[in-house]
Amino acid sequence: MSYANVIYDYQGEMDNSVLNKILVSMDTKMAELGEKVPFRKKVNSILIECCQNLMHHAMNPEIHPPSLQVLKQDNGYLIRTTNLVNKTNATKLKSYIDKINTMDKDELREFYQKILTNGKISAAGGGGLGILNIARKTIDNRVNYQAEEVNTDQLLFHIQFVV
Amino acid sequence: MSLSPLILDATEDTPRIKLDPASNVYELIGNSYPENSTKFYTPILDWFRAFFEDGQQGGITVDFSFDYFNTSSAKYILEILRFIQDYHDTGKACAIRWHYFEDDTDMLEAGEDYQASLTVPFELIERTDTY
Repeated sequence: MSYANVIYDYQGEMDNSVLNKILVSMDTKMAELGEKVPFRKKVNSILIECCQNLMHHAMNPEIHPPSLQVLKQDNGYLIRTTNLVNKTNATKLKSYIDKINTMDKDELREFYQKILTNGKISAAGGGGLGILNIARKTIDNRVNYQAEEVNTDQLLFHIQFVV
Repeated sequence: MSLSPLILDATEDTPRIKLDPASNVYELIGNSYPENSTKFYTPILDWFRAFFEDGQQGGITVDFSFDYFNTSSAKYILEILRFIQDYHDTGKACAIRWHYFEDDTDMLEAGEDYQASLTVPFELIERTDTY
């Protein structure tokens, strides 16, 4: 029988001042739960990617604010994010995550290096490196997703994985 | 006239930058996850470009010591490393020192990934201070 406790739950607009508060709070909570510094740093580095994805890619955050939840489970920390995306972007994102989910740890590292050295820099993000970097750090090298239709053009996109 | 130093204090999400030919110290230390990496790194890339184009400078050793960096910073860090590589390729003796904490395998791997894409001397150094 598994158990899960919500240790962080946030819904609202996201910026780096919110992110910094999340990092401090999560570090304190994980320390209280007996987690060692390298693991806490791993979780927080993933939270940086997740929250900045929400910052740069959430549509209409004032109407559909993005959300972040962290749950402590018996196999690690489950991290879940939700944000509104348009269907075209959701299709691209699904296909990118499906591709990543076929790769093992070494293949992910190799793919990361390829994108890092050949990809273009954008102001908003690392050109697909964020989600790839997350997959490199999850317990099974997988990122799960689910899409929930909001209207004809938009979806609520849920991403979930365990660290 | 020598190039002015570029010195920026660290913030919660940006590293301390010290690029100072007078004291021969070139370092980026701390966190790097600004909301807009382009805005943060453009003046730093401009500084390195000016430094290397000046042609009057000798080789340099640059220290990188990050606690966290996001993936858009990762691309700019690579740009800086490539500048150093290019300068090294012109015959200047350059080197890179990548510092990481003993148990921080993610930061060690990040250094190894950069190291693998370059031929400039690149040392991975375990930090002896505490977290």
